[in-house]
Amino acid sequence: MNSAADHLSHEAISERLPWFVNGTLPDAARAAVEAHLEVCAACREDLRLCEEMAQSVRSGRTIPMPPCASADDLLQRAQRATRSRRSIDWRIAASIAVIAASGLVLVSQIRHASPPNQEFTTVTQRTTVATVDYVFEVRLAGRLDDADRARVLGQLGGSTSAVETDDGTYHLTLSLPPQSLTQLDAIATDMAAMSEVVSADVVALQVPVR
Amino acid sequence: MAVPLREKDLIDTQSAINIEREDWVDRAIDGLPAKQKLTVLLVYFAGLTCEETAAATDVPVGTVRTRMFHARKKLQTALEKSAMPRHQKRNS
Repeated sequence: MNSAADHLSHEAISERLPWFVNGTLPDAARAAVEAHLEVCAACREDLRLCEEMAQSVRSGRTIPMPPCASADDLLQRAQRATRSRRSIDWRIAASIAVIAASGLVLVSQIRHASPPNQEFTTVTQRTTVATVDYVFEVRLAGRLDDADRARVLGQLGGSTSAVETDDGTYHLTLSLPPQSLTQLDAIATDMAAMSEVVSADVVALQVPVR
Repeated sequence: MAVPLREKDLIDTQSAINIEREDWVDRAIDGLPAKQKLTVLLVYFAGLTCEETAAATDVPVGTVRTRMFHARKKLQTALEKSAMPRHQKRNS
């Protein structure tokens, strides 16, 4: 164990418990925390609190917060902060989407800040969530009658969850395995290739919150 | 307070206690100030290191640790309050 980690105080150990729980502490610090936990009942109780918070957050039970005006800035900083790992975890975007509250706000902002594609390559390996609800904004040709409109929306895969917006576009919610933005763009491109579709774009992800 | 007589009921009672505790944890997190809540989400949901969280939220590492510490203390206070008898809760 490295000597600095060996001499961590009770307070320093206590401060590091959240990262002990999320598994990102360096080995030396982790070993120091483990050794301290064996002899400190207060830290064991604090550890339990940290684990309960983690469980609550990961379960998606926690209720979203009021909108945050600086969500876009936060996302860009989060992406820069994780660039060294060569991967961007969709959970970062989801965390910030929770901050933006509605879940319909963020992906247009995510797109503007999208990092190089390779940073998304490990997304599906890191997540334990089977599917994510993505919202696609689709504009249909104006000449379609109701039956054609229903048929096209059904072919796009979102017939049961299509919502018409004020400006005449549709929001289709599709449940998909976690996708990179490149993959989502490819899906949108396929949608837009239909003759009845004027444009299609992925605009949001829905976060599992209560 | 109902005291369970059978092992089955004891298990049911323990489950109910656990669910109630989860509910208090959820509510405590929900009630956190925005900056603390974002920090909690980035650490526990997104799995960022302390340094990454600091960079993402544009604050020093010490501030991240302080926010996480205060979030935990608020949860601790909420859970202590949840364990108090009803008449004490009303008076507190």
